Amino acid sequence: MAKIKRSLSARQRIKARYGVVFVLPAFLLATVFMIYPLFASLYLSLTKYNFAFDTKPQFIGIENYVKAFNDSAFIDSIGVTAVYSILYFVLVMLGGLILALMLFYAKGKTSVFRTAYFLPIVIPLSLSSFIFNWILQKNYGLLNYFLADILGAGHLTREWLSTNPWAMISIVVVSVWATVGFETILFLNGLQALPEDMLEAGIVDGATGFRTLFSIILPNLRETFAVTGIWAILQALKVYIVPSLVTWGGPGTATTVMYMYVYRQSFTYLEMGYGAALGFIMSILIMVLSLLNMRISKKV
Amino acid sequence: MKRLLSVMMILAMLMSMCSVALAEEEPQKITVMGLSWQITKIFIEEAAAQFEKDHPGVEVVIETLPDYASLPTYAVNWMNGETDVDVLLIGDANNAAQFVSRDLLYDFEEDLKFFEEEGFAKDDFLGVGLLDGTINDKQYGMPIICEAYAMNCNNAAMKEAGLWDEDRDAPVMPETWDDVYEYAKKLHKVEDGKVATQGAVIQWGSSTFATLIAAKQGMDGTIYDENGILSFESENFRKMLEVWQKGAKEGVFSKETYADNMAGRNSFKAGITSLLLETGGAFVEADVNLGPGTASLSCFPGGYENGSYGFSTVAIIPRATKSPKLAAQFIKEGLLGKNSQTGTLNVYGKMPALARYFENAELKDWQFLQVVANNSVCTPKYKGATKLSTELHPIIQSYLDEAITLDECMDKLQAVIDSMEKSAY
Repeated sequence: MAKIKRSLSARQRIKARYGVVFVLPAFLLATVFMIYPLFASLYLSLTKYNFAFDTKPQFIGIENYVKAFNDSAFIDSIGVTAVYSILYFVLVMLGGLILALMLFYAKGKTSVFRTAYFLPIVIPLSLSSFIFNWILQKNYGLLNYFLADILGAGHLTREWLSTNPWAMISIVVVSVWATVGFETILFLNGLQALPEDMLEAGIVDGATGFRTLFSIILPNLRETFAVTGIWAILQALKVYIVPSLVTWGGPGTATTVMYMYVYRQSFTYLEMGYGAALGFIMSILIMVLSLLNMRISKKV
Repeated sequence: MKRLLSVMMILAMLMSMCSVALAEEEPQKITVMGLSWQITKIFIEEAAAQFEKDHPGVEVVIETLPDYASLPTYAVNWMNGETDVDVLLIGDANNAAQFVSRDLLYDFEEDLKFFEEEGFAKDDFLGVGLLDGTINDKQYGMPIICEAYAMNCNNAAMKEAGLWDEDRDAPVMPETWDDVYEYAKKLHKVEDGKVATQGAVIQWGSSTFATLIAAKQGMDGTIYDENGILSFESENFRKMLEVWQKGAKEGVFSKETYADNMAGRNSFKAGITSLLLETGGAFVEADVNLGPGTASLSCFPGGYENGSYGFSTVAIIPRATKSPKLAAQFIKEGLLGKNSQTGTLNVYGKMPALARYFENAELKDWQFLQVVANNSVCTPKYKGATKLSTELHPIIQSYLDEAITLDECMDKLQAVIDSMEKSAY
């Protein structure tokens, strides 16, 4: 018995050694490309370092963080991101859920629709943003052409990208168009995972239509809501490409979101220390909101 | 025996000297790097092919720079004495700030004696080009192509509106911004609620700073205050902003450049816009697109006399290169050669850096723009000058959209200038 024990532990030791060898590459990659940069940028955020003009970073403690909270342009960009995020979150979650429900209940062949909804995800966002920038132009844009020359409704034409609130509405609509397909697929997976006998039991008990939806389907999609919610929050808060390429942050600063501001500090002004501090503030903000979403989803 | 030994030693010394000389000879391969449009519009591939043909054994490699955001990586390499590029094209000298502050670039005048060769003296260059490549009184950037802000006009629309100067056989030149507004109003046409012809487009996108500098220089003859610091404060400037706001509100001045710097140029070369106030070379694009004689040039108020805003694409040579002489020679013979300089002028509407090539211009408007460019000013070479291209246009847009008052607008513009580090690199 003691012999078996000894041989087992020897085998375990060998296994453990192999385990270490197998884990090592992933550990090294994570260390080099994730953990080290994380701590390096944390240190950078505590320094004053302009890449163009300073020879080396100068440690200044939490000064960059204090500066960030007194920086009215940064605070404004948080406000703009908040407005964008709320609109985007509501529309993409609702849109994704409604489309998924439509696909779920349309028992026939829905592959064409699934492809259509998912297609925008496949197109690079930068490319579709460029295209929307053209479509929404005032004088030669397709939308105004369609409204005025095809529908004969010239009074509906707008300067979509250079007036408030249309600029914000434009970037939200483009973002929702680009990502709602992914949310739809996530919701659809959640719906398809629901046990059929549960739905049938509901029908036997007399639940139909909206009653089934609100009393059976939605409460059982809690985990899906958590996943789609976190994804939508991440997409909303890290928005950068669409406002950068569709509205260029304007008119004024009406669509200048946080990431645009951080990018400008880091890569236009080359203020690496301040840029890193802003990046950490954003990361913390995203983490808090994601945790909040998980807590709410669990409670519901 | 001693004599033989002495002769052998002398021979050995001579041979070793020769081998040092050979080792010190520059590698005969250079890499030229620029943005995609620069490679096309400066005819760099053709210039490289010709250079290789003229100098057998020399190889010129052309590579595309993704964007200016990647410039810091070059600074890191060059600090370590390494480089994979020998000639780098950059948008204006402000992009060179990070290199100049670390002494990573050759000075064309002192180090490379560039201006000593006949045909390449300072006087041979367009003034605004050299000015844009000068940092800390040194010629770190060699201008290759230049541009200046002016007023591009659609000829047919101008003639139809009675805005044609028969004596000059050219569009009329506005004396004040009120004139520009009146012209735009005459040219602006709305049909069934939709703009059929846009009166004017003013560059109010991220290049708003250029428009502001061009307008201020034209109106007041300077962009600096009595202390030599950039300032927009003047009665003329305030009046101009009021006119801009009125025009924007009525729609005769379009705001389409807010979201796309190129929007005005696109609608101008599509024949939709009658007046385009930005880089003067845009009229050539309309000429190419809509047919010869479609477009021509006029100027911002006061611009013909006082100049406007000018800028250039400049070439820089890193100290890390092993072939600085060959790189400078390629700039002279290739990038500043006749083929590139006249090609870019006549095909792409970019002004040559060397003034003599204006003689090869196919359109008379180029001589007009040459006058404007010669008197023009560039972006001030301040450490914090990048703020101009990022922080001025939101302020102007906010004023045009009536989100802030004129006083607030002027205060905010001044605050940006005050916050900029104005020391040289």
